[in-house]
Amino acid sequence: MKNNYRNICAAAVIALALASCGKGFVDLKPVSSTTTGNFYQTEEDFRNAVNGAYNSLRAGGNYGGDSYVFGEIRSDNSTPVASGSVTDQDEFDRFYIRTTNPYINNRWSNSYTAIARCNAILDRIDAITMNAATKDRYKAEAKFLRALYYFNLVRTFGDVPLVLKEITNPDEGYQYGRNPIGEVYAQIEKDLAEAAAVLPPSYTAAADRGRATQGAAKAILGRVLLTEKKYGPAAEQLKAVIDSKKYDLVPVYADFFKVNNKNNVEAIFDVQYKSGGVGQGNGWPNAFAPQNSGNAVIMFGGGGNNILLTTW
Amino acid sequence: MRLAITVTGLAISSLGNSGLSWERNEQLDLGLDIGLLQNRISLSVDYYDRITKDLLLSVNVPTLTGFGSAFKNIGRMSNKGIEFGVSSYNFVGAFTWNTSANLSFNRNKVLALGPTGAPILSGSGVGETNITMIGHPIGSFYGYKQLGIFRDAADLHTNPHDNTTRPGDVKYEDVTGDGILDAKDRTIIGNNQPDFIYGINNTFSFKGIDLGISLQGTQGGQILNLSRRFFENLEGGGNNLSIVKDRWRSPENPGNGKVPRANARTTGNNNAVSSRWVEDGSYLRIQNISLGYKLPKAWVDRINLSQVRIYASAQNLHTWSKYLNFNPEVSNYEGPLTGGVDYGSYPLAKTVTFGINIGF
Repeated sequence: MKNNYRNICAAAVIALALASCGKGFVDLKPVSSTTTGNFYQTEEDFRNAVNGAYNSLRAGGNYGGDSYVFGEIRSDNSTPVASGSVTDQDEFDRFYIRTTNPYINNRWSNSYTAIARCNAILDRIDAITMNAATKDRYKAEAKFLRALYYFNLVRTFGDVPLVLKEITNPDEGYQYGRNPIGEVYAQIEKDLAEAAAVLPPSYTAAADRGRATQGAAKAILGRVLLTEKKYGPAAEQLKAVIDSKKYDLVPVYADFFKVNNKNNVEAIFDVQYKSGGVGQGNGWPNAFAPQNSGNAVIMFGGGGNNILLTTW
Repeated sequence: MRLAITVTGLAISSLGNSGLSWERNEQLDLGLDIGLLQNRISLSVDYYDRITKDLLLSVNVPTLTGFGSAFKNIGRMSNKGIEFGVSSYNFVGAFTWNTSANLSFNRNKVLALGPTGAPILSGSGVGETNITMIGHPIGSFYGYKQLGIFRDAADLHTNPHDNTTRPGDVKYEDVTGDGILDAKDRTIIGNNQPDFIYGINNTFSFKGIDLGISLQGTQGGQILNLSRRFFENLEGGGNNLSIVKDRWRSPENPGNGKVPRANARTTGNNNAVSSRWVEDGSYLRIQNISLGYKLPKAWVDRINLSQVRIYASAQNLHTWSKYLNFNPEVSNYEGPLTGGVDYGSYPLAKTVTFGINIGF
């Protein structure tokens, strides 16, 4: 009898619980994972989002492992090692790049992933209440990065789709076609000019090292203008960088590239890495270490994989 | 100054789709069950015709969205088939023998895809390996079609080829017929769907001894064995399968017309995803054999137990197949769009178990 009483009580509790289940009960957002529904709300969120946009600089198709394939393999400075059954680098070396080449695909998709991160920041930040100066700086950083990514895209592919807002539905992707080179360069110039007007000349906090500065925006704008053969305006931007007195040449040229000389006085904009086997390192030294040198030259599987420097 | 500063960052990793819904099925089933000879033999036949709508698939989307793929309700697919089953009591009494067998045929076809009907290309590891296209089975293999091997310079000069191709390299079909061999010449080169699958179980018992044998097999399905890009690469970097003995060596000694020349430097696109790697995946496998002996009741009673059975059982004892890699029942990549691709899969374990069941 006592048992029965307990069962009835339990049933009543369950019935009450069920009765109180409204629509909200099954329409909850996950609290343990970050979604676009619960992110992009605070200044802290946007700091993380801007850092995420910088993180794309390290992607293979941007400044990570693949960029020497675009910049060096095609020259006679270096040749790829014949590797396995894969011709991907050989296709660059000897100019028979197939449409299925993964490096081509990576540059395209890594660039647009980065651009999507910038666009999400620019589309969402205006609605947020936060420190106005920080907001302006974050927007300027996002514009700087978007311009840099488009600069790589337009130099690699020529006409490319100009995506300037966040795409939230996959079907929207089909509405874009390729924009002429001129329009892409006009947008790059605009983004960099707007970034240069807002970005600070330098940062004081160590955690802000590697963020885009006014000098970086002007220097890259100068390089963009040079690429467009607009020599007068290019000289104007680059002179402003020199006249800022923020930068100087390192006395010994080779020192510029030394690992223990990061962010030196000659470096106007550096992609940041961290050593120590924490998964934040730069794979370039591994790629250029002598073939099959193992750990003799560099930790974690040096070379053997990618490249032989030719000496002639 | 170098400080070990770490900063955190976040970014969107996948694209949501607020319009997603469940897949929907419409199915017609017709069945017939017959019992003969006082149900010593029973037969069953089932026919089904199922249309799946709003297929929920992770499909490639334009990467300019910032993402490579997204879940979408895309397309319609048909599965039709017929299944036969027989079970019979061959012997009853002191010696019993029961047999059951089944045989199923399924035909899969994609009926519609997305707003444009454009095919879905999918793959992993080695780029695009499968295609899902209206009118064909889901996840068909996609690549070049090998015609043979370029026998000599004359053969090379009269057929479209890659600019690094030399005599002894693989000859692919110029599917578009434009005189240029490029990625547009890739076509459907097979699929993983078998013509039929079957299984047979036999169980025997006599006195305390019981024996069960189950066989299982498929016929007519194909496998894209990309492992052979390594096992048959002819680059001299590792052991190769023995079939490379039949490689092209010279115009006078052209081998079997399928395996190209040895070449330490990868040229000629010989290792592209092509019909060169498509194999018959048919097999018949001894899925399980088990043999047991139940000790006589008189013995068991004497030691105050209710039952003692000693047995041995073997799983995956043998597979009959012409397939060159370990396991013809393979898929390295999850998901319906990339079925039947073998890229260095592990063999199945053969397991032999010995045991005693004791009931108190």
